[in-house]
Amino acid sequence: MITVTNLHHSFFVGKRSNRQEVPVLQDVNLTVDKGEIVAVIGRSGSGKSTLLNLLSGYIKPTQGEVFIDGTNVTNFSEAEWADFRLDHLGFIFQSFQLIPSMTAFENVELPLMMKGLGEKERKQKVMEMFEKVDLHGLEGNYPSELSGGQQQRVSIARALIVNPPIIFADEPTGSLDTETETELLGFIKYLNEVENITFVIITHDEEVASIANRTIRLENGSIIEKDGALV
Amino acid sequence: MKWKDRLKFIRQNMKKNRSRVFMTVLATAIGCGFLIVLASVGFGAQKYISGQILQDRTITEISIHGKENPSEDERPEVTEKDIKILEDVENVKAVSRKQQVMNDTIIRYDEFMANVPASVVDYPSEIKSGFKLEKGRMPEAENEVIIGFHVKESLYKAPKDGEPIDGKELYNNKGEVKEEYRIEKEQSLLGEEVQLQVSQWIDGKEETKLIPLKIVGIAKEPSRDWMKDNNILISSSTLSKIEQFTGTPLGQAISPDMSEEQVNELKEGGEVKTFSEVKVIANSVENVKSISKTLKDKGYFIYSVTEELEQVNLVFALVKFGLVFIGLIALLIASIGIYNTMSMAVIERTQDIGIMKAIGGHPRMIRNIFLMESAYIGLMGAIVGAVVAYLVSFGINSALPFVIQQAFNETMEQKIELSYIPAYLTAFCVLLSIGVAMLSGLKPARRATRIDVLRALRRDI
Ligand SMILES: Nc1ncnc2c1ncn2[C@@H]1O[C@H](COP(=O)(O)OP(=O)(O)O)[C@@H](O)[C@H]1O
Ligand SMILES: [Mg+2]
Repeated sequence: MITVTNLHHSFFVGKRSNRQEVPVLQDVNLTVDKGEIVAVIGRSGSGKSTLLNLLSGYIKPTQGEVFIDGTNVTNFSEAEWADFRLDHLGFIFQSFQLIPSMTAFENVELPLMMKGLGEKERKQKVMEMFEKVDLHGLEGNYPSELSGGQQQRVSIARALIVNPPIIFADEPTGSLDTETETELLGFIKYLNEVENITFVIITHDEEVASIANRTIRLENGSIIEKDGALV
Repeated sequence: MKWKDRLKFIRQNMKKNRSRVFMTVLATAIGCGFLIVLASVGFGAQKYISGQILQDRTITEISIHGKENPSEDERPEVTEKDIKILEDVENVKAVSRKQQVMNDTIIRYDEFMANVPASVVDYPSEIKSGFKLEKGRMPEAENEVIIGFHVKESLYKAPKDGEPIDGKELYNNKGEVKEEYRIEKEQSLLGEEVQLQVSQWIDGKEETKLIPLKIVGIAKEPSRDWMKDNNILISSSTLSKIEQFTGTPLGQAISPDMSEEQVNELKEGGEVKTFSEVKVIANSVENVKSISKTLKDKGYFIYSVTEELEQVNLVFALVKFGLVFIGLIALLIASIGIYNTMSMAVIERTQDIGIMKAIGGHPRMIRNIFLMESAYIGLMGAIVGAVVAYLVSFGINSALPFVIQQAFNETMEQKIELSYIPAYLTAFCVLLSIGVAMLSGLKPARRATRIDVLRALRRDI
């Protein structure tokens, strides 16, 4: 499903005159199979988010190649990435990233709107989705009128609405309390088992990693442990 | 993304900052309205002046005012020979010409009389040039004449004692003959015998001669209601009779204070027949230009409305260009407002745009949303501006008569449309406003597409 080969990434900091290269990821190789939950763990600053941002196309790698769902996305343009994300990827963020001026319904409807679906079809799909994430009746609420757990479920609904085969989650439980976290992890597990959605979850939390089929441990930008074995 | 959804989307966005959008729309409306009103004055003035130029003339007409460099044996006036030349020019339908009797001609009928300018015309040419009769027929016999439509109105009861009547006594304040002097309305002059009176100083005495004539036709009323046709058209043999009596060509009057020399000069001037009011009629408007050129090349002094209109239109094209240019400045200032509003909108919505991009929003879609939003502002401004412009234009035109009355103490006969808004001016200005608005929104829209997802999401790095 996802193949990463020989991935390197460096940030460049400072003004032009004294630009400095800050290497963040070195020689990352990994594969994620269909239907897996893979957890990327590591301490803060180890390069987990950078890895996921590369997979999401938010930044471009300095070196290496990324294949997702059989497509080489390494040299995608912005426009190509946009279409690819809309069709293949769902995203869950630590801080939910809902549009505050839109209702929960409108936030979930947005990807369908971007795909150009008609109003009737959209409404039906969104209502079904609200049932599924157990938020029935809260469609008209604005994000600020929802609890953290509810907001995260709205964001999952938004990720699921276009039926993506893969969902990327960067610290999905980072803003939630323990009880809500457990609930959310259960839901992710359910989606993975019932709907066969592939998850790449980034976390520094061993608890989250416990639902994963496999874990990848990063340290200082390098993979140091894969599937329980040191590399 | 569907158009309908985009529209819903931008409406929602605009609602978030109503007052700012309102002010921007207002600025655009002022710009667009200002542009329309300014240009409308150019259009109104052009329309008025073109109307003035055109009102008593036909656009296929070219007037000939003589020759530029007549040779030794030629006269500067238009002669019989010139008429031939003119008639032979390509695309000339007819050459209308007149020999005006240069005498104080008076028509007498029963006890009534009127001063009527008399002239000889070439009837076939006149008919081709569009001359039409109201009643009667064209003259055939030498003594038969056609009178102008208004000759009857200008007849007045001749005083018994022969003393001329004071104008104040004879005419009312509209310049019409007073009721008590006028001929009865029902009285028709068609078929009536009249007499044409000519006078001349002969041997130190004023002599008059009466030539009996018969009215067989009355010319059609002139197309403009303020034009009066008091002419009488006589035959060339009648003109000969007049010339015989006066001893001068075209019946030119000799005044008692003329010297012997002047009188002789006058008498000898007329071996060659000359014409006044010579008009070449083109067979269509398109040919006026080429005919004008040919005539100029042949050395004639000419004047044509079409040519003058062309010059007037050129002048007004410049005037309108100037006005539109000034109006454009207003619109440009408004565009700065739109640019500012859109830039603010992009900055305010950075997070939203970042989120949209993160989940698959296409840069093109994002750009289009912002472009549409600026176009929408432009459209609303243009509509408001156009409506206001129509109101202002109406106001200007309604207020104009009062202003003129106040300033010049004069009432206007005609209604003057100082501000005239042709539909295409409105369409042009509305499209221009939308265009300018979109252009102003282009840069902010592009900036929106370039928003960095990660920075916008402020994701914990
Ligand atoms: N835009 C950036 N510019 C410079 N350095 C960055 C940038 N983003 C991340 N880094 C650096 O890269 C390293 C890895 O960051 P990140 O991938 O966010 O770690 P994690 O998600 O594992 O906490 C950190 O040292 C961070 O300071
Ligand atoms: Mg991180």
